[in-house]
Amino acid sequence: MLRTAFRVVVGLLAIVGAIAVVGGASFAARGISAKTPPGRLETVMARRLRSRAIPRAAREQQNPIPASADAIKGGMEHFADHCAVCHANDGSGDTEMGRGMSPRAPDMRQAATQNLTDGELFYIIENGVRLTGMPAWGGGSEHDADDNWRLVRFIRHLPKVTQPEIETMKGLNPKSPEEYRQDEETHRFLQGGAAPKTPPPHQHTHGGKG
Amino acid sequence: MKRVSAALFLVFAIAPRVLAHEGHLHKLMGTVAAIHGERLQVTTTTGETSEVVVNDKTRILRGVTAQKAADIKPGERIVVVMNESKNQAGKALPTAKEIRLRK
Repeated sequence: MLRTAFRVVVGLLAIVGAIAVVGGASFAARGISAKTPPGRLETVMARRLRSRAIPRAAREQQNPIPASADAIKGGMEHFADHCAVCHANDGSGDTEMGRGMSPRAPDMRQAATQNLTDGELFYIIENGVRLTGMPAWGGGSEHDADDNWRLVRFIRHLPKVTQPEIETMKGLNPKSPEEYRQDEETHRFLQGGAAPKTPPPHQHTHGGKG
Repeated sequence: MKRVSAALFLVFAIAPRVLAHEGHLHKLMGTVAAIHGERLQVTTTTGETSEVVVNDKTRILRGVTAQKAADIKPGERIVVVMNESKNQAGKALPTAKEIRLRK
C-alpha cells in the first residue's frame, strides 16, 4: 500500500518535473515573445485546462435565443463591430491582431471551436480566457447576455457564412474617419459622381482577410 | 549625457524599422479601357492609362456580389485598390487586390 502511494507520488512529481522542464526550456528559448505560436503540447494542454475550468452547469447551458435568421443577423452585426478586428469577419482569425497573438486567434470555423458546446462558447465570451487575447465581454446585464447568446448563434453559422454577408459586415466594421471618407468617395464615383479633385491617397494596411 | 545618447540611439535604431515597413496600397479610379487575360487597362480620372494585373487572388465586387475578371466590361467605371509587386526581371508590376464595379 505504502509502496503504491510512493510510486504514485514519484510518478506525479516526474510529470510535474517534466512539464516544468519543457515549460522552462520553451520560456528560455522564446522569452515572452508572442511572435511564435504555442507548440502542439502547450495548445492541447491549454485547451484541456480551459475545458476543465468551465463549470459543468455553464457547459451544459442551452442557448435561450431561438435559432432564427434574425438571431444570426443580430450576432453577425455584433461580431462585425466587436470581434472581427481579431477574429476576421469570416471567423478565420486571419487579421493583423489575430496573427500576432499567442495563442493565435483560432479559425472558428474549425472543429476546435465548433465542437465546443453552446454553453462553453457563451462562457468564453462572457468571461474571456486568461493569458490569451480573449477579453471578458460579459457586462452582467440581461441585454449583454442576450447579445452574447446571439453571438453563439452566429459562431455556429460561421462555417456557412456567405460573401454577401461578409460584405455587409465590412460596412459594420469599426472604421477610421479616413476609411469612411474613402468608402464614400468610391461609392460616389462608381455611381457616376465626379472624381475627387485630389488624387486618391495611399492607403496603409498590413493586410488581412474578410 | 549617457542617457541622451542612449535615447538618441534608440530613436535612430527603431525609427527606420517603423517607417520602412511595407503595406502601402494605391487606389486607382477611372474607366476600363481594356482587359486582356490578366492585364487590365484603366483610363484614370486624370486621363492617363494604367495597367494592372488581375489574378485569382483579386477580389472583384459589383456591389456586394463577387464577380470574375470576365465580368469587367470596357467603358464602365472602376475603382482598383492595388499594391506593387515586382516580376522576375525586377520590373514594378501593380497587382489589383480589390476591384469595385458599379452595382
